[in-house]
Amino acid sequence: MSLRYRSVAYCVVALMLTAFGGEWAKAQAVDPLVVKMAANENEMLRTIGKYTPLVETYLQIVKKSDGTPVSDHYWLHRIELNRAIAINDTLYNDPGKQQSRFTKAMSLATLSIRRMPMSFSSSGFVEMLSPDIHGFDPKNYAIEFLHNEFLGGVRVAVYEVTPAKKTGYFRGRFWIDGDGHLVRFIGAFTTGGTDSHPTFTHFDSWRYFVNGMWLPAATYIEQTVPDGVLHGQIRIWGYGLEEKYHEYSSTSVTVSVDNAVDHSTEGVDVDQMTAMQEWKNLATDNIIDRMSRSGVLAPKGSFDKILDQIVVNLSIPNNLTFAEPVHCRIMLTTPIEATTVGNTILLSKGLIETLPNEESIASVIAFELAHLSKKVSVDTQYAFADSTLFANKEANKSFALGHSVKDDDDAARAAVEMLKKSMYADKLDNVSLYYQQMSLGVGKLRELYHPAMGDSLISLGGRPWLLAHLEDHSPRLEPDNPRQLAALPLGSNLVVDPWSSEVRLNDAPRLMPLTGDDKHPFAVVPVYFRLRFTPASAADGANRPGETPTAQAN
Amino acid sequence: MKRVPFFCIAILLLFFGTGEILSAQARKQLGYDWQPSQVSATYQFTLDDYSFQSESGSVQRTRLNGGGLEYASRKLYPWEAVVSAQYSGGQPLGQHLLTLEGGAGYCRGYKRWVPFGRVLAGTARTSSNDDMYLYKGAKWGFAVGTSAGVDFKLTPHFGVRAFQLQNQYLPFGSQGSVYWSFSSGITYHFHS
Repeated sequence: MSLRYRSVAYCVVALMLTAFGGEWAKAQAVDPLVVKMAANENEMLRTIGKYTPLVETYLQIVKKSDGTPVSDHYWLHRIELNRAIAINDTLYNDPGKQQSRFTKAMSLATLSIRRMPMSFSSSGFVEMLSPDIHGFDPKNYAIEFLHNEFLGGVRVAVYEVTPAKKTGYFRGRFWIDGDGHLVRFIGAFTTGGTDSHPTFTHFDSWRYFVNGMWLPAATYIEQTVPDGVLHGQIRIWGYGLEEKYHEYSSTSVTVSVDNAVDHSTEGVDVDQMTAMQEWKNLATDNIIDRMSRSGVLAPKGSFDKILDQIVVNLSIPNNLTFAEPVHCRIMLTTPIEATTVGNTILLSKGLIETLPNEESIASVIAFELAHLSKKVSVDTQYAFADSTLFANKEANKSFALGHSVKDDDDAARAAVEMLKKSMYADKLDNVSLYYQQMSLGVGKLRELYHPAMGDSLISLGGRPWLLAHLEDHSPRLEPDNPRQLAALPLGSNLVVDPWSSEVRLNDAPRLMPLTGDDKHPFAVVPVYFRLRFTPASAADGANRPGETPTAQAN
Repeated sequence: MKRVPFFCIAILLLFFGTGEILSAQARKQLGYDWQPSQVSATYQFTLDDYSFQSESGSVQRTRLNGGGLEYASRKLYPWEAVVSAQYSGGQPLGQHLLTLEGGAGYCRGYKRWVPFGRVLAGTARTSSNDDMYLYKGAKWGFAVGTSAGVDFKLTPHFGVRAFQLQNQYLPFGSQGSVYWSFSSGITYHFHS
C-alpha cells in the first residue's frame, strides 16, 4: 500500500474513532435517572399498546385582546399504539363526513377565492401523550439537570431537554420521579414554520398514577396563532375498557340462589303493557351497554347519586311518577348536551363541568325530566341486538338520541314550571345567568354547543331553550364582577379516572375569582395535578406484578 | 445526457420537499393556507414576435436576455398585489426593453409549491440601433402582461422561481407586438 493510501486509511480510522468515541462519551455522560426514565418511557409505550384509550381534544381560539372566543375544534379518538409504536387512531366524530357533497362542493368553491381557515392535524395532538411516541432515545437530546422539587407530594428531578435534531423533536422540561418515571413534561415539538405561523403548539402534559402505572392523562395546550391564542385540553381515559369487558366475557358467573324469591304464584303470563315495557327496557339496556363498551359513558359512580338526588328534589314537589325509577349517568365527552335513554338521563361531562351551582344542574335535569314526563321514549329498534353491533368508533354517532325541536320547546317551558315549584324556585336568577353566559358564545363555540347525539341546550335560533322562559328572572350579566359566577371553565367540578373512567366530584375547595378576568366561563384553562403518595393504592390488588405504586395524581 | 441536469434538479427538489418530513418525529399539528409576501429576482429570456433574414439567408429570431425584480404583497392571500420591473436587451438590432408594471395575481400554496397567475399593466420603453423595424429613439407605451408560474420554497425565507411564462403585449408596431418570456430565479419571503 502506498504511503498516500495508508495516510488516507489512517485518517478515515481516526475520524471513525473520533465519531464513535464522541458518541460513546456522550452516551456515558447521560444521567442514570434519565437512562432509567427512557427505559420506563419505552416500557410505558409498550404497555399502553395493549390498551385502546379514548383521547379527546378540545381547542378554543380566543382573541388576544379580551379573551372572547373566536372558534373551537373538537376530536374524539380511540388510539392504538401498535407494535411499531405508531399511532393508529380512529376518529369517533369526523366533522368532514357530516357534510353533504353539495355543501362540500360549495365550500370548496367559496374557499377557492379566499383564504382557507387554519387546519389542525388531530393525530398530531394525540402524539403529545409522550415526548417521543416512536420511543424515547436520550442520544437524540441534550438533557441537563436543573434542580429537585416537589410536585404535590412527589419528589421529582427537573431536567432541561434540547433536541439534537431539528424539526419534530421535543424541546422543554421533564419532571422525573425517583423511580425514573416521567410524570410531567412541558415544551413543544421543536417549532417548525415561522414565529407568526407555528406548526407545533406548546403543551404541558401530565401523567396519572393509576393501576400501578404512570399513564398519560391530560395535556394543556397554549399557542399564539394568527387568529388569536389557541388554548386546548387533551383528556385521555378508558385504559381499562378492553380489560374490563374481556374479563366480563371470560369470567364464569356463579349465581347464589340462597336469597331467591319464588314468584311462581304471580303466574307465567305477562300482559301487553309489561311486554312493551320489557321491550323498551331491552332497547335502553342495549344502548347503555354499547355506550359503556365504547367508553363514551362513565360507569355508575358516586356523582350519579348526587344527580339522582336532584331528580328526587324535582320529582316530589311536582308529583312526577315514573314506571321505572329515573337515574342519571355521565357521558365522558366535552360537547355540552343532555338527553334521555329510556328512564336514564344522560348529561355530558362538559355540561356538568361548566354548571356553577346545583340549581343550574337542576335546570338541565328538569329539561330532560320534562321530556320523560311527556313520554318515556326510546327507539325500540335498538332492542334488536344487531342494531348495536357496530364498531366502537361509530358508537358516538350511531345513536340519534335527541328530541324534536317542538319537544325541546315544550320541555323547556315545562322545566321552568318544574323549577318554580321546587326548592330551586328562589335561585332561578343563577340559572338565567348560566344560559345568558352560554348565549354569548353561540356562533363561536360551535363544537362545544353542538351535541354529538343528544339534545342541544340551544335552539335553532341560537338562544338557550330555557332562557326564553326565564324572562321573569333575568339579572344583568356582569362579566367584570368576580362575585357573579355565571358559568365555570371546562374541567371544573369533575375528576375522571383515566383507567376505570369513573367520575367523581373534584374535592378541591373552590376559590372565588379575584377579578372578572379570573372567571373564564366555558373556557379551556391549564391542567394541574397535585401528585401525592398513596401507598393504599397498592392494597387494592390492581397493580401489575413487580411494580411498586408510589404516587397518585389528584 | 441532456436529461442529467433535469434529474439532478428533480432529486434536489424532492430532497428539499421531503426533508422536513423525514427528519420530523412528530406530525405537524397546525396548518395554514397562507403565503408570505415576497420579492423575487429573476433571469429572463424573451422571444420577440419577429425574425430577420440574415445576409447568409438564415432566419434569425430576435432574442433578449435580461432580468426582473418583482414584489408580491400577499396580505389578501390568495390574491396578491404585484409590482414588477424588467429589463432585457439583445441582438440582432441591439434592442433594449424596459417594462414597469403593476397589477393583481392569484396564488395558492400546496406544501412547498406555490403556483401563481398574474395580470399586470404598466408602461414599456424600447430602443434599438435600428430605425427600420424598431425605434432608434426611445419609445414609451402602454403594456399588458399576463403570466403564470410556480415558486418552490426551500426554507421559510428563501425559495426559487422554478419557472414563469409571460406573455407581454407591447404597443410597438402598427398592430402592437406580442413577446413571450421565460423567467427563473430566486425568491425571498418576508415574515412579519
